[in-house]
Amino acid sequence: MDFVCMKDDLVFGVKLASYALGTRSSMPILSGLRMDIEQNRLRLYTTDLERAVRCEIPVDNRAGDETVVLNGAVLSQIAAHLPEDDRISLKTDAADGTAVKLRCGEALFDLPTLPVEDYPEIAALPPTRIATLNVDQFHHGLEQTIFATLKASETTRLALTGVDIVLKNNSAKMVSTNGYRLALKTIAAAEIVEENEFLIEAGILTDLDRVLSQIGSATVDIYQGSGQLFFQTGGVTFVAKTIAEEFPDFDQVIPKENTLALAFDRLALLSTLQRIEITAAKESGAITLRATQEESAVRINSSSKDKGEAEERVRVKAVPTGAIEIVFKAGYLIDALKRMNSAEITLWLSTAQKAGLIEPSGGVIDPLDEGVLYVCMPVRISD
Amino acid sequence: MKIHRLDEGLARKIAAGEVIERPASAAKEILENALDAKSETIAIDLIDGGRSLIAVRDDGEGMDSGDLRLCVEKHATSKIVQEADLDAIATLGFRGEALASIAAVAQVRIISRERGSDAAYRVTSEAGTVEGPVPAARAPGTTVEVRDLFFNLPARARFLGSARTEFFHINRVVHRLSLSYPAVGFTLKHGERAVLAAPRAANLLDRIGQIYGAETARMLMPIEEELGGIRITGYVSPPDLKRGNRRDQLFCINGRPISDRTLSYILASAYQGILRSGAYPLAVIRIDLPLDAVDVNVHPRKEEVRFAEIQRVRDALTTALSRVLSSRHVVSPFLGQRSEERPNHPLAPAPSSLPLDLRQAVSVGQAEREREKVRVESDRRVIGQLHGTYLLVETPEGFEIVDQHIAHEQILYEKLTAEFRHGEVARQQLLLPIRIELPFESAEILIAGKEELEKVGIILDEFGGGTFLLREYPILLAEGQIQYGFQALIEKIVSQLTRGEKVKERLGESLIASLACAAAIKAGDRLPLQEQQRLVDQLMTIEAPYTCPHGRPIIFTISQDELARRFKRT
Repeated sequence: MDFVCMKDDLVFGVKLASYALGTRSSMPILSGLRMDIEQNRLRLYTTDLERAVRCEIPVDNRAGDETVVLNGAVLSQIAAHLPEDDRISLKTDAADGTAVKLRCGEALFDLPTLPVEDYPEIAALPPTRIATLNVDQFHHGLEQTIFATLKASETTRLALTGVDIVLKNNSAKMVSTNGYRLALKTIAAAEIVEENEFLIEAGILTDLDRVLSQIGSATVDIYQGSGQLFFQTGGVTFVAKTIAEEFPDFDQVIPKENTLALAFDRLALLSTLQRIEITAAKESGAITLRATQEESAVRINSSSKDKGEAEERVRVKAVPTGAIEIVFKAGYLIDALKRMNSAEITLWLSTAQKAGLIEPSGGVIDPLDEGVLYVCMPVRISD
Repeated sequence: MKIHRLDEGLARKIAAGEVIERPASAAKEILENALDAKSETIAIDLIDGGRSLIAVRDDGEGMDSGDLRLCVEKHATSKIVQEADLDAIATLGFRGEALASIAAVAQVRIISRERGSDAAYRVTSEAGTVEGPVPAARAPGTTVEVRDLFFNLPARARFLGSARTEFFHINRVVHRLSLSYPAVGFTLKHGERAVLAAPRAANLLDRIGQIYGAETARMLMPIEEELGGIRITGYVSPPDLKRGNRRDQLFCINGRPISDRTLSYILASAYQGILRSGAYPLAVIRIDLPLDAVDVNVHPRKEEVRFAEIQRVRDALTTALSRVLSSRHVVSPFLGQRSEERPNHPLAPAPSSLPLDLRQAVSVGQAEREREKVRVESDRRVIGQLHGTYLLVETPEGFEIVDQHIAHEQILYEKLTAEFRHGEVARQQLLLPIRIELPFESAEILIAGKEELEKVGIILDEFGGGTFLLREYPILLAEGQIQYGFQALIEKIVSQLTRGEKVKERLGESLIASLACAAAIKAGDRLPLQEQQRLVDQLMTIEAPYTCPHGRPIIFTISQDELARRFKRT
């Protein structure tokens, strides 16, 4: 191996690849970053078996095609601290290929290689593209759903740790739930070739989102592999392992018959909830909302033995058409309101035992909030 | 005529004894007779947990009038004739004392018609006085009705459990026999309630589905092994399907359901490292071996056996289990290893053994910033986490080691108990009710304990057939519990409810202790520093921060003096 490339290209490639570097001590080879040199292209590849990143950069190849695996963490650190110079060269050092010399300006690193034959097989990009999404919209979709997943490192409820992506009717629906609340975002797809549904762990999607944001392409193509989804854009492929579990039937939990609409100024409601949560019991965070037909306001209160009580009136756009007293975990409402952008939202309710639904409302809905919807189950204290 | 009196010497050699201890032992003997008579379907009716009535109707071979008269006499059996037969017992019953023992302590009525015969006969027996046989009407087969068990032994009757407890025992007997004989149809009614309807099953897996639910059956892994003349077949559970006790483990030796410590131990050893302690696999394991390789005549209720060569059985079972448990069914690399791989808490200080990479550089930076943000509310400053299990805390007096699981358990326990005592446990409703599947006997207990559960904030709807829907859960524990699932917890609660009759006044608290334990942060859970500090601060606000509801210590303290002494500073 002997090639020269632009420093910025390699730094960019290594940075993207580092998002899928393995850290599993039982499989040290996954801490490696695999480099395939083929004519004048260098392919960088990393995987931790749950996700993989593959990207290509142009190089000036001065020898034959070859593959080496270098310690990815070391390479990442080097990439972050290279001296001022445009170019970087890598060259196999020892005759048996067990070390690589990396040179940039006056800096010279001698890097041991890892055994190529131990590196897991790389799945090829499947032949058929199933969809193309707009990267910006996809990003907002992830932002408005990932938060509602179950954030447990050790859970048996895998379906609750992921975001379900439904590609159907020229749109992509993203749904997530922790079993008590649910976030749903529908975005228009640039193209759906094949309708399908996939569940991917939130942590993997967060990394995918970061990788996509660095590439800066407008769209991303999606390919379906076996137990994996391939996201490809701008010469970079991100492979995400899918969760082989059925996602709950979310359509059935979205309340359809809401009799009571409470339209709030979103930020006013958010700040009230944040204040009232202070005196709610620590673990439950239960707050009570009371609406009557007498005033165009909702009273929100909380109390706990050790922290005291609080109550506040929040204006609603119109006098409620019915009365209700309903209890929610404040955090669940706050989570949703924080991730919306519109000036006005409506909380739809029917009875104190049925789910509440939040959606942006009013004359002007922020474009970032198009297709967003949030469902939250209430708390019950007595029968 | 098939039934005859055993020769007295032979009768003495049989390890007899008190076989009828409770309705379940009577039911077991009668059911075994029905199975030995090659019945295809067996219907059991109970009233009052079997204390008032146990009625078993079968469509087996039946008896003629002579057999009918003899069958209620002591040591009358069709199943063995001479001593050598004891070495190769292929039938469930063999001692010829069961019906006689029952007849001595209850009112017994038997109607039977022999297959191929036109006539049915009836005998009745009360406290050993036999009447009949007299002609009666019946399709081929036998009906045995046992009424008012122990009516002439009031002292014994007093020691019987409640109808629910006695039913529980009978149900377990039915359950075990039906798993041992999938080809025989079983129905069980308790009063007006149809508890089990298990039509003749094509195979063991179908029968397991009838007993434990189709979903459970679908998850089970088959085992099969033949080694040294011993054949092992059956089903065991994967690691994610576990139980809180051994009740759902059945060993069936040549068709006879038995309890055997050695076999249980082999099973437990095979799951070591796969299941945490306190969790047990579900297993239905059939062991077929030559009749002379096993002695069934060692236990009065015939629930234990003795193997001629236990080592061979052990080898065969161990091989069968290790084959299935080491296969790829058990640990899929994606699901099995993901948890240890990547802490999901974005703020958790990365474990130091991880190699550095760009992401790590970012997360370490975050952790540093995080440390600055951590608000210390008490005079205890958390330094960090030890082995993902203990929190190290600096105090003005020295330092403390806090067990994070027990600390969290105690906090949750105190808070939920306070709500419970005020009768206002706040419950978070589930977006989608969670399905819980229980075997029939557990389901019955859960139904009976519904009110107790509602008091602690668990709202379950019975869906029939052992299926429940969990709709609401105490909000204090709801987020914690959902990550661990509810099935194993509900099973644990069932066993608590089973014992609960004796400790009624403390049942609520003891249930809360289990709920708190199940939802609390586990040993091994990596926590962000902020959460570690919050946990310790909270612990200091509760009433009893030093011991948990089970009496285990939460905090271990080392004083500054002690430290100074250790380092010879004084």
